[in-house]
Amino acid sequence: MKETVLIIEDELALGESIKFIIEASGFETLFAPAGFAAFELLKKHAAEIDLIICDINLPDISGYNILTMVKNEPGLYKIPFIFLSAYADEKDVLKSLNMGADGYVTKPFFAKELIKVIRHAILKKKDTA
Amino acid sequence: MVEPQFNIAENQINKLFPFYILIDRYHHIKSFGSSLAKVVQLRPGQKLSEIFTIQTPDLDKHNGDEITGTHYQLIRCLDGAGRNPILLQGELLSIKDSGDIFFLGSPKVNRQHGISNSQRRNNTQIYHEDIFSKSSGVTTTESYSLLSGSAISPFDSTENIKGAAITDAKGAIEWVDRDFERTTGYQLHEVIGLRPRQVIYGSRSTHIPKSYVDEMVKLKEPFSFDNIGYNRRNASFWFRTTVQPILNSNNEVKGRYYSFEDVTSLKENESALRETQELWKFAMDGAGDGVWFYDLIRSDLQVSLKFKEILGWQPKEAYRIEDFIASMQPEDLEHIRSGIIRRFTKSEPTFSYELQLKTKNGQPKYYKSKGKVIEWAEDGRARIVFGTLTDINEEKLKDIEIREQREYYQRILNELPADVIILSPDQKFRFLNKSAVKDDWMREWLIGKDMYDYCRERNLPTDLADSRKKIFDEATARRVASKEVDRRVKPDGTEEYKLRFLYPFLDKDENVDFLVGFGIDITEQVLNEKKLIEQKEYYHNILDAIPADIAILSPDHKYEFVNRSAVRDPEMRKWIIGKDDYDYCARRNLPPAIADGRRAKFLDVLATNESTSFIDEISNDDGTSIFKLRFFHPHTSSGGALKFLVGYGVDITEQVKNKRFAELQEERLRMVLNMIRDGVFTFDEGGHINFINNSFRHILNIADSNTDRPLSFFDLLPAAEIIKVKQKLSQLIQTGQPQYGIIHFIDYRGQIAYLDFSLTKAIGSIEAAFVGRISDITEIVNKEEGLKQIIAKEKELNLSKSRFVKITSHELRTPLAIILANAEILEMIQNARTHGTSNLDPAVMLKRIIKEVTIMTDILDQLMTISRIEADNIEFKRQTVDLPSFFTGIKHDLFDPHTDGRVLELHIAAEVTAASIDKNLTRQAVVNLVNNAYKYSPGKPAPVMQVGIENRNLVISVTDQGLGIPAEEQGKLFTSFFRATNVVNIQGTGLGLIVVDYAVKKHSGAVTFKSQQHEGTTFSISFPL
Repeated sequence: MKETVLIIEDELALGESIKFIIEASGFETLFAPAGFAAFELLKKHAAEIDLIICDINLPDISGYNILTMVKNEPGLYKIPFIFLSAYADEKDVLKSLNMGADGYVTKPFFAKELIKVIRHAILKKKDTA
Repeated sequence: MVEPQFNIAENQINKLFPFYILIDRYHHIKSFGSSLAKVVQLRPGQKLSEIFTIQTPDLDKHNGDEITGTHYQLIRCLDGAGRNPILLQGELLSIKDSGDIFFLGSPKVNRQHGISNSQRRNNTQIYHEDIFSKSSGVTTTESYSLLSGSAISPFDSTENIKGAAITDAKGAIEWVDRDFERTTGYQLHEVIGLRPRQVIYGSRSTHIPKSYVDEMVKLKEPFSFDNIGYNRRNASFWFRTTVQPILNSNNEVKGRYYSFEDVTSLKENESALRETQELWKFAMDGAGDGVWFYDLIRSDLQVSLKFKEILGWQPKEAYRIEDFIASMQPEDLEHIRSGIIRRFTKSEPTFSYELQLKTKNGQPKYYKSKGKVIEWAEDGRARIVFGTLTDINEEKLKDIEIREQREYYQRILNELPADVIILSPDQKFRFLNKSAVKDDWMREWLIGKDMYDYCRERNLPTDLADSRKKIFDEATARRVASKEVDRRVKPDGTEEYKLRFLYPFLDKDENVDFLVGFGIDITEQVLNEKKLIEQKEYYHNILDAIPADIAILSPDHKYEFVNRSAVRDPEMRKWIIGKDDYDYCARRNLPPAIADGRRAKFLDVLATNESTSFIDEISNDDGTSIFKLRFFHPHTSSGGALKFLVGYGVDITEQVKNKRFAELQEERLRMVLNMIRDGVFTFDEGGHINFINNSFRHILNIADSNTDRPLSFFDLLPAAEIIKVKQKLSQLIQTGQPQYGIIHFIDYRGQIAYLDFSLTKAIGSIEAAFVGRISDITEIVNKEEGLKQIIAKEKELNLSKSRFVKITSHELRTPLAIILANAEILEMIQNARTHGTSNLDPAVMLKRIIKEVTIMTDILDQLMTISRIEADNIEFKRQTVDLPSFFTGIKHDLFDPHTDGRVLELHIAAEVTAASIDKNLTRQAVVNLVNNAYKYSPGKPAPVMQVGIENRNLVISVTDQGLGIPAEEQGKLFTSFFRATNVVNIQGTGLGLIVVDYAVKKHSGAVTFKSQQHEGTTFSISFPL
């Protein structure tokens, strides 16, 4: 069975590209262009989602808020959470990892790199499970 | 020596020896007699030597056998002061085997120390004198063993009648000594519990009331009386009883010590019979008088008929000794008994005595009786006395009258509170009153003596007598009264002054009969007068010592006193008394104007009766001046009349000089203060200004005319600043620390002015005085403000730069990510095509890449613009632009629709035509505004742009219904890279409005905005046409 990745990205052009790259690597995807849309999907598909890729700058709420919510929700906290952000500051990366993010990928990124991070996170989750 | 029996009961011993003490071999007291316990506080176990001084020699060295029969004496003082010793005297009795020793003794009286009047007077506390008796001590031959019960008959003894008894407080016998037993013939056990009188008194004993004795005992003083006593065989004897109250340590009477002394010195003397012839001769001598003879032993009186007649008795009536005694005064009886009868000796067997006797009918009369012992008893005492009785009543009464009269005048003289003496012509005292000589004895003694005797008696130098004699001699010679003041230093060092008069009284031959001296004590008056003089001198001395000129002036303006400071020359000081200022000026060759001036002041004081003061300037020869502050102070009597006037002058030259110097200093200070740029002022606690310098006036724009008016510092300040300054002032008053602050207000030019002020306490000022300083710091403050703004800008710029780096990198990363992702996808598609699995359109990917590159170019363009703006390096080129097509063109190019699909609503007013503007700059500004409106209103109705003309201004406004700008951040809107807090999640560089602002400024226009959070924002730009 294929693992499912939830993509949260407001830049549609980029979102579509990410979706393509991930699916091309053998994953199934769900896509949300903003925070609240992402919550809808998480509610519906909590059991199916194996990983979340999230932008930090979103039009409604920030990616940090989504991370906090996920990590405090009993049904969701085990899902690996990876930020994909234009913020490339070391500070931003550290802040995210401290808040519980499982990975951080800065824009622009190479497809291989992104897939590697996703796979590593999913493997790690399986190991702990 | 009888062998003692030791088993005798102690109470039996006590009965016989109530003063006994039993001690053990170590001399510790084992028990003691009940009478001893009354006088000495004892406790069994005490060492004998602790209580008594043992006078038995070498008591310790004796063994028991040797001790027995040893004579001993124990002395003990009854009080702590070494007085009232009790002496126990007796024998020691050693008790074999046990080693115990009995002291069997009795207290002893020393008759040689009998109670004399002088002793009574000197010491009221004599109870048991030193009762140690040398002559009548118990001797070993007299002693006998009480224990054996044998006794030596007292009647066989040739010893005098004597004895001692101790009674309880009420007089009941507790103990008697062996002398008593011997004299009376009664044994101790027979008399215990009885009063001595019950033992001794007989039929002819004078009844001395018991109450008299009891009362005397209460006085706690020894006393004695004589009486006739009887022994067991009824033989009578005269004896003297001395009663000594025994006191305990609390001075309470605990008992009585009676001692009896034989006064029967007359005893039958057969040899007296040989003088019978003399008897008759003697009787003949007394012819005409009553004749009597008296047998002392038998108390038998025989009287002649004449004797009876003299006393008013009938010849046949029987006259006995009792009748004679009854007719006598008690004091005469006493004198005859103790004074006459007992004093007869063979060498002086006669007597002569005046006495008062009552006649048969009870009338007292004076008699004289002469007598002689005509028969002596064997023991040498008088036995039969023969005598006569003469009536001397008449002459005696005359004598008494004279004496009484003399006594009467003497009494009056004695009562006088002045010394009175009467001298005979040979200067012997005839009389002295009590005031002259206080001591009664001395006064009596001096009669018939002179001053030399007095000096000798009193151990005074004979100078006194010499000087008195001189005075007496002079008065005698001149026969006139003299008067002198006599000064005497008393032994205590005080002085005594007496005013003495001496009056010579002359007899009919004009010779001095006697001298009367009269002395009045005037010590008090003399001393008072002395004190007054001393006081005056004292105050004059003080006044002399005062370093100020003091003069006392009489009401007619003459000097009564000047002190040393006022007139240095002592001669002049003496001279000026009684003179006035005119005299003074004349003598000193001074212009009389000085005196005129003084006189005027003096008259002033006289008229007003009030003090006045003035300053005198006195020029010296060397050109300097002396300044004197003079006071005239009047002293009036209670009636209001001027008594004297005190002139008081203080040299104030120094002060005047100082004051002038101070004034000069002040002027200099003022000058200096006026020169400095700071405003300086002094003021009091209420803020009232008393000095301001020129700069103060200048800073606060105060006209010169206000100088005289006291200003309040607070009046010069705006209300808000008054509070600040007042707080500082109160802090200054509380702490004393200088206070600083800045105040600002609108100055007279209508501009904000800043004043820096400091307040401090004026040093050395008595009243609350303060010094303030102000300086105008408006310029400095303004400069500072400018500098602050520059610094803030610089800070902001630095912040902007870091923000720039962050934002640009972020804004550039997203397009780059898209480009990279799409490029990779294209690569994948290429590979998939090769494998035939792709359903993606490569054309879309490529378009996206191109678009993102365009966006990146825009961002870079904007950055270029900003950098040029910041360097002000943009070419501003106005050109005539057709505005409607310009605006519709922008809409068409970018917002019809925008990337999010919304179409910009554009309204262009009809009057908007063409204008001269920089086309590029204006386009960028407008695009930025509209872009912002879109960006911050996602999901809301499309933004609206309105273009119109208002007041010859082209007005372009863009309205959205978006997030709005938080009010507190609206001020930072036009700074580079600023982004409001509510839009951090929205992409943007924060550079847009910078471009807008720049464009507007270049066109000399303005940009305004209205914004309400959550409701929307309207930006308007206006360009003047």
